[in-house]
Parts: sequence; C-alpha cells; structure tokens
Amino acid sequence: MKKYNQKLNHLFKRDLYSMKNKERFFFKAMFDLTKLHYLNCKSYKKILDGLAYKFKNKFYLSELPYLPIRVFKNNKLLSVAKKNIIKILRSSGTTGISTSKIYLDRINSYNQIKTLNKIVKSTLGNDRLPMLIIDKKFSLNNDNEINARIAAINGFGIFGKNHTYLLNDKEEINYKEFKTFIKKYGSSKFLIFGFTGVVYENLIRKFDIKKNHYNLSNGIILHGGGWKKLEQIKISNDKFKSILFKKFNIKNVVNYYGLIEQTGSIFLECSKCSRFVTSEFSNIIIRDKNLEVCKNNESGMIQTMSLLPTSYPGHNILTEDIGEIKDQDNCPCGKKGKYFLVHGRIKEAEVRGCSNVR
Amino acid sequence: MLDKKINYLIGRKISHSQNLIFNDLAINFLSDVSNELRKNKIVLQSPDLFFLMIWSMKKNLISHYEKYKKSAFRIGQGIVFHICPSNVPLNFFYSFSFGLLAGNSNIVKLPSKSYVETNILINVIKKIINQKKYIKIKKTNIFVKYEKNKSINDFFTNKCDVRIIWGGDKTINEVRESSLNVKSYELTFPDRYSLAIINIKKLKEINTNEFKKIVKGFFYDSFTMKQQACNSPHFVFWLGKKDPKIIEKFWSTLAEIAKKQSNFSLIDLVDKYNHICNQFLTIENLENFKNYNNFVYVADYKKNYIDDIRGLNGIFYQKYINNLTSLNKSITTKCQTITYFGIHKENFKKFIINKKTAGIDRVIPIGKSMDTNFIWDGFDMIKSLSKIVDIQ
Repeated sequence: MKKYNQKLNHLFKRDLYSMKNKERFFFKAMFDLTKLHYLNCKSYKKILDGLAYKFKNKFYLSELPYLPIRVFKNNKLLSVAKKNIIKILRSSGTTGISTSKIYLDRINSYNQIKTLNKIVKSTLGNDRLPMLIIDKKFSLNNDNEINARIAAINGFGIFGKNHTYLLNDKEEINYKEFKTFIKKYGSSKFLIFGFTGVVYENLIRKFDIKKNHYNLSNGIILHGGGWKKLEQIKISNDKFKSILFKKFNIKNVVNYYGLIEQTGSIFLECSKCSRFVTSEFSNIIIRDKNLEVCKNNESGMIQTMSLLPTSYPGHNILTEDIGEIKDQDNCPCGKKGKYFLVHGRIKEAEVRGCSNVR
Repeated sequence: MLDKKINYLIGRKISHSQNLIFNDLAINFLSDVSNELRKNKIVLQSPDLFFLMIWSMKKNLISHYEKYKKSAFRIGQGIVFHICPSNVPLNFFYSFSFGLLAGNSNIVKLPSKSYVETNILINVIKKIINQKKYIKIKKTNIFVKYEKNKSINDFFTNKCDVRIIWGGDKTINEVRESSLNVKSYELTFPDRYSLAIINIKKLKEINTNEFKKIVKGFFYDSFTMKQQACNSPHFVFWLGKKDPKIIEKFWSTLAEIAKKQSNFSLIDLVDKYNHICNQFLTIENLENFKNYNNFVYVADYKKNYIDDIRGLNGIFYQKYINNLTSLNKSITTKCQTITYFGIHKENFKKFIINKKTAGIDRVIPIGKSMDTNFIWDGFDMIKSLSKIVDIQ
C-alpha cells in the first residue's frame, strides 16, 4: 500500500494532461492497484476468483477485471481496516432504492481532494474565486456519512470563497442574495457551481430574468452529476450552453463527468471540443453488449478507471452510462488523453419475471 | 369511495355469464385481437407480442379445442377474477383468454406498472371489444388497474366464482386476506423454477449433429425468456459417471450458440454481470466457476437445497447425480419443469410417484419447454375454470 501511494505522489508532481500514450504507465499502476485490492479486500478477491481472473503481467488494460457499479449498492467493500475509515460517501440514490456506500480512509480522502484540486485548477486557474452555489445550504449531520450532492458541494467548495447559496431552505431562488453577490463580485471572474439538473431547474427554467437582469459574463459555470433528470425533455449540452449564454451572457460553461465511486478523478469538458477528457489519474474504455472493447466513435457502456481508490476497490468500474470515445491525444487544446462523449444512462429493462408463455 | 381508486381501463359493470367452453364468440374475439395486432408494425419488434399474436390465432385456439370436444357438457363457472403479476407485461392476456375460452365473465387486474406492450395490447382489445358483434363480451369482461388495496380485493373477490393469483408468495398471501365466497375457489401460480437432467452416457453416444441439436434445445429453453420464465432451467443435473470433457463441450457449444443467437440488450448484459458478481459475494458453496466470454457462466453448486439460487441471462449451476432418486434431495414444490435428455420417460413416472414433495408439474424433452399448451402448473386451464353440468 505504501509503495503504491509513493507512486501516486509522484504523479501529483506531473502535468495533468501531458502524457501521450499513457496506456503502458496506466496499466502498470492499475495492475498494482488490482493486486493490492485482491490481497486486502476479501469480497473483491471472491469476485475475481469467481470470474476466474488470473494475474498475468502483460500489457492489456482492457483485460484487467472491473466491477459492475451496482455491487457497491448491495455490498460493503473495504480494502483497509474498518477503524481507519474516516468518511463514507453515499450516492444520492434518487433513482434506485438502495444507495452506494464508499468507504474512505485518510489517505484516500486526501488523494481525492488533491486530485480534484489539480484537475479543477487546470480550468479555473490557481486563485480561489467568489462562488455562487446553485443549491441550498445543507446542514451536515453528525455522522460521517455524506451524500453525493453534499460531497460535491463540499468538494468543489474549496475552489471558491465567499460562498453564496442561490436557494433558500425551501429550495426557492433567493433573489436578494443573488443581487448582493453579483453587485459585490460580478465585475471580475467568479464561479457558479451546481448539479446539472439543479442548474437547469433554477437558472434556466425558474430564474425570472425580467425583474432581475444582470450581466454574468464574468462567471464560469461548473456543473455535473448527470443529465438523467433532463433526458426526458431532451436538452443537449449545446442547447444548455446556448440558453445560459442568451439568458445571462455566460460564455464559460464547463460540464464534468464523474462517479461518486471515483470521486476526485473527474473528467472535465474540454473548452475546445466540448468533450470530456481523461487525466493522468483516469482512463476509460467503451464496451459493447458482449463486453468487448469498442472502437473510437462506437457507442457502448462506459468503463471508468481511477488510480485513486485505495481504501475500497473502486478503481475499475463498469458504469451503466452510454458513451463513445471520439479521439485521443490530438485536441487543439493540447491536452493529452482520451476524448469522449456521454450519451446518458442505459435504458432500464422491463423486469419480466415469469411470463409463462408456454 | 373505492371506485376512485380503481382505474377502469375497459368496462365498468360486470354481468355474470356461463357459456360453453370454446364458444364461437370467444374464439372469434381472441382471433380478432390477433388479426388487429398483425396490422401493428411494433408487434414485429416485440417477441412477446409477436408470440401472443400467433398464440391467439384462430387456427391455434381451435387446435386445442380438439382435446375437449368429446367431453361432457362443459360451461364456465361464472366470474373469474384474475390478479396478474405486476412485473410481467402480457401475462394478463393469457390468463384472460383461458377464462374466456372456458366460458366465463372476467375481471382482469392488470400490472400496476405501465408497460409499452401492455398499453398496445389494451388499446387493441378496446378497439375490438367496442365492435357491435362483441357487445356481449363487453358486458361480461372488465379490465382494471389499481395499487395494492385490500378493500378493492375484497370488492372483486366478493363477485367472483374463481380467483386466479399470479405472483410471489407475498402477493398470494396478501390477496388471501380477502376471503372467497363459500362456493368459490382459487388457483395460484407462485414463482417457480425449472431444471434440466442430462444422461452423460447417452450424450457421449450421439453424433455431433445430434449433440448440437440438444444444446440448441437447451439454449432455446433457457435463453428465450432470458431465464426469467418459470420454465427456464437454472440447473443442470448431470446423471451418471462424471465426464469433464463432454460437460465442457456442452457449455462451450452453448456459449457459441449464445454468441450467435442471443439477443441481449446492454441492460440485460449489465444485469447479468451484476448478478454473477453479487452471487460470488453472497452465495457460499459455489465452486469451479467457468466464464465463457460472459455469454455463459457455470458453477458447481455444492448444496442440495437449491431454492435460494437462480441464474439470469445465461448463468447456470450444475450438480452431479448417480440416479434419479438423488433428485429428491433438491426438489421442492418450487420446482415446476424438468427438461431431460437420455432418460426414458417411464423412469420419470416411477420417480414422480415415489418422490417426497409436491414439486414437478411437467417433464419434457430438452428443447420443448416453451411449447404451448393449456396445461399450466399442472392445471388444465380450461377444465379448471369450467364445470360439467350433468344432464341425463
């Protein structure tokens, strides 16, 4: 474990999107991480043994074992002693009945913050910006369990200062607070942060522009957490951006893609090509319905990898999101990595049960 | 008050009726539903609807009538109340058809969840039932939806002569809280599972083509309904001297066929991968896992009791037995169908008589588990929903 963390520390010193053809380096790190969890997490070992996985030290990233994202819902997966856990992240669970639980020890939690910091700063710059949060202020419970929404606001909160919440306790827009914030900080660069669905609901749908017309052209919107809630109304990322531009004159809208299971190593949208890009800490593979690897421009299930999870085996996960890789290492912005799109969730299957068609 | 909680999709008041089994009106009505479905292109995209369309064709229905023709003067029991499972889109139609063909009025409770296929079919039924010639059917059949509610169950139970309950043990017990009229009775269709038995010696004797045919039959039995029908096998019991080579050949051939022919969507695949990973974590006594490129997973199951473990979309468990009698250790009332290869059916008759539980309603050759007939879970659906009036 110590050795692996040293390796990770080395990575923090490097440029985030510099490594061309990073597969070989990434494979070695993922391989070590897979072994580490195999030795330290009984449940993880059971699954790998079940899948008849054999550790072969040959270079195929796609052959490393991955867990279906739902196993975190039904099972307690830990690779360190329970007494070392300082924080439990809980998925928001708006769609499913059960929620995932992610167990973090001190080092894992620290690495998440450090990585998120590095990734977000690559877009926002080094200064902490005044931050308008498109949400209400949550009061923290006494226990150490934190749900995804709070975790994100807390996590991204460290990049801002003068935190102001757009919504009051009843989740209504607090225009007064908004006005004060814009008057104070609107004349220079500031940050607007929120969940995609919440941003849509409040800034795009509810916000009454007639009475409150302000120029927010100095704002940068950072939003994520998925389009699931917006899928029904069929709003695309482009449309989302263009409405925000028309309504508030905001030019800079950055979407991020990330799993609560892999907090920290999020994928930011590239400002040049509007696609998500992998960093030194992350990688993705797209798989088809036979679990075989898709080519570029072929759409399939997104498998995400992160070098951060050390206290739980969440480093290699098959998500239930659909996406496609567009290209690699050649965006005009200069960032090296895989460029990909996320199309949304897999359509839920009808539970058939016994149809008794005989 | 109750009425507000009931969504009447078709019909509202129900009249009692007792018609002859397989009466012309019933057959014509069901076949008109089939004809109307044929016009809808969406039906081609839904295997379940397509199957239903074929099933309710006049030719198919009449072919079943042959068996009942010679029987005594048979008419319906009166009103049948069908409580259909909430997780199966089209089951209600089969249940309703049996009630109608057996000469009854029907109260059909549809799945409370909304399914595209259910809606298509309901619209078709609505269209046909509103034709003038079917006015009698309209007066004697209603289709409703409601969330679980004891008072509504009481209300409809009070009207019915026969009650049919589909579903898990929990649903059945809940509905049973509404007691039936003294002369009424009920049929229940709880969750069941099925298994296959293969004679290793016989499997080794057959040629390659025959071997493929057997595996294909097994594929058909298990993959058609994605192992989610009661008659889909989850277990293979290998009978006779263990031979790893032929067993391996069986599964690898199955995986090849599945690769070519299975029609899984992404979510089926994810469900399967998730199911198998969760089983690795939660089920003890699993050994010798084999993964055939995610098309087929097989594991030895060491426990005799098998009611607690199920496959999904191509996940199977195997056991080894020396004689049929050993099956006794595993079979409970939950076991519905045995599909078999290389065993004489007379041997099963002996076994069935001597076995210790009430399980097993069908024993059929591998490849035939999806064949349709009117015997469900051991009930002749026409005879079970009708009565003989003794006229001398």
